[in-house]
Amino acid sequence: MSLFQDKQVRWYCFFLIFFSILLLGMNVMCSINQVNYAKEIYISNNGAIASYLLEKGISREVVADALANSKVSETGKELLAMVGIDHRAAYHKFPYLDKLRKSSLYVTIPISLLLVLVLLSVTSLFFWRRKQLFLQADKVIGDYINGDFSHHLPQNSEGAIYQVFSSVERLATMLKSKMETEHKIKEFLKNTISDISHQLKTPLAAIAMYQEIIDAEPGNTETVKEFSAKIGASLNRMEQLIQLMLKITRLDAGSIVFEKRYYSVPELISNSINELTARARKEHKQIIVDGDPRQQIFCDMEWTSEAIGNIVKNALDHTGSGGVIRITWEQTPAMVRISVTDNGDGIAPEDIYHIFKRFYRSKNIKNMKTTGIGLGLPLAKSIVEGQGGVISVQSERHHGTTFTLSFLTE
Amino acid sequence: MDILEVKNLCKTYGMGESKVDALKDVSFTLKKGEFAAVVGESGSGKSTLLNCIGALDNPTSGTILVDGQNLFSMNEEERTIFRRRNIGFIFQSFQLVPELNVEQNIIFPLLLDYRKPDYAAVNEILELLGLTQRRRHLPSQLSGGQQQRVAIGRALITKPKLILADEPTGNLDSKNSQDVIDLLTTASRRYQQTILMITHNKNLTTSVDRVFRVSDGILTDLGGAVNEALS
Repeated sequence: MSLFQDKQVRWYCFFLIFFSILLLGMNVMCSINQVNYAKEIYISNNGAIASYLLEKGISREVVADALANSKVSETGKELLAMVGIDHRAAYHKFPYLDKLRKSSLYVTIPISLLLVLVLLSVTSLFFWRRKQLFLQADKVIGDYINGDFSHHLPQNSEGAIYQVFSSVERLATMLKSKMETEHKIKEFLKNTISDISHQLKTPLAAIAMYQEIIDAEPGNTETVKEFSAKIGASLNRMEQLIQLMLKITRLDAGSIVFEKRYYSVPELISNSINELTARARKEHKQIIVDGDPRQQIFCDMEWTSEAIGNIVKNALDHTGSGGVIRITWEQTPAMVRISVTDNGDGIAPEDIYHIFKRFYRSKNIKNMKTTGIGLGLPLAKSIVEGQGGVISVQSERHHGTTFTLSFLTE
Repeated sequence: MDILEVKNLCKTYGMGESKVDALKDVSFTLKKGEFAAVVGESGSGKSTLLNCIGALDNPTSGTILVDGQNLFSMNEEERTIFRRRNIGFIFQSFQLVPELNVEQNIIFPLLLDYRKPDYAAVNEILELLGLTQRRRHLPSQLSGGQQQRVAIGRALITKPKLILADEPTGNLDSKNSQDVIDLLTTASRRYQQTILMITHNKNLTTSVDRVFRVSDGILTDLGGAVNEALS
């Protein structure tokens, strides 16, 4: 029975059972004793009456009949009342009964008291031990409340209370990690804000400079044209950054509800790379889409397209002219996997664990022109993971990189 | 915060001439929510490492702290209960109970600890692992990959502080292996679940947060800092 798992409860229950047996035994003993005594009283009382009657010359037959008689008549009762033997008579008028009363009181009361004492002391010991346990737990939980996680609750025994302790322990672990995450969030926000302002300041400074140049030479159409085009590019970059930032923030805040439906994968892919094919052609790069055209996928079209688009964009950024980007997919027992493989430079091993971090820029990329803002891949990761999927990357230096997006099919 | 702290762990088998050092002075820590992989050839000591952390084997020297509690300062009974409540295991050979269906296999660890299962949590895990439609199936009616997914569910249901996975893809083909790793990754992110997995297949470590290599009993950190916790 589950009640007996707790060691202390189990011992206490064993004690109660033992105690009940003891109590029962004592009662049986006492009543046997009393019956024996009553027998003795009966025999000696009848003996006294019979002896007296025989002495007075009553015949043996009559006395024997009288002793065997069980009928009680009114006259008999009256006679007994007259000599003072009825229910109102005090105990000391019957010497035999008086002896019985005294002996049974002297035996029963001390034994009963002893038993009550044992019961009370063992019960209080049990409750005291429980209380100690609770006080200990209370102290540890108090420490947890004050942010001190150095002590732990006893949780390595059986029983309901230890299960409660182990749940509290888990709660404490969660609390502790929450507190640490909170600290990290603050750091993260600080870094993000400084990153954003840095990212905005650079094009802003450029725009200011270009504007000054145009301002200085308003008559020179060539200069005006050149620098207004540059201003346009900078503004474009700023707009892109703000758009991405807004999307990421909305995902972070959890205000995005993914509208998941079944779509065909080719449809999803063509939706994703719609705006990128022109760029690829211009840069003499090839995007190859290859896979079972009937494959279905369960996801949010808009957002997943955004994620795949960002990965393809990233691939375009990191391949040279003549690069090939291959988008393939396959169905595994539990998932649909979409892979985007390029034949670019690959990712350095020291970068590979950081590429999904916001604003992360590799130190290994010399050509700063091709570096993006550092938000495309983090956004793709947020989108895929937000839908219960997984994004992973595999890369070999100078051979290429494969990004894999996996979505659960069921 | 550190869920697992391994300090100067050594394990030696045999005595004198035939002495073999399975683990030499291994130290590392895992933070809450990290999914770490230990790679290494067979015989490199990675299984010994996992067995020591799971308190299935006694180290020769060194300490292992799980959420700040020393496994080897407990007596055998306490350690058993601690392990049951705080460490989940996933084995290469699945180890499902053949007479129980998927759902019963998943709630099995709760029943061992005399707890009532929370069916909302069970449903969530079934959905996460893509097993909702197979909840009434027996293990014999499932493929290897599905069986291993049930085993992952069984490890997740108690929300242990640490899950130890011993070659979880050892008996699976490459597609199923990738599925299992992806689902472990998802679970690790969703439940902030700390997982330590050993594998000999380095291709399967692309989505984990950290990779360690064990070679001749020496552990090296191949890098991968804490995954972006906020994304």
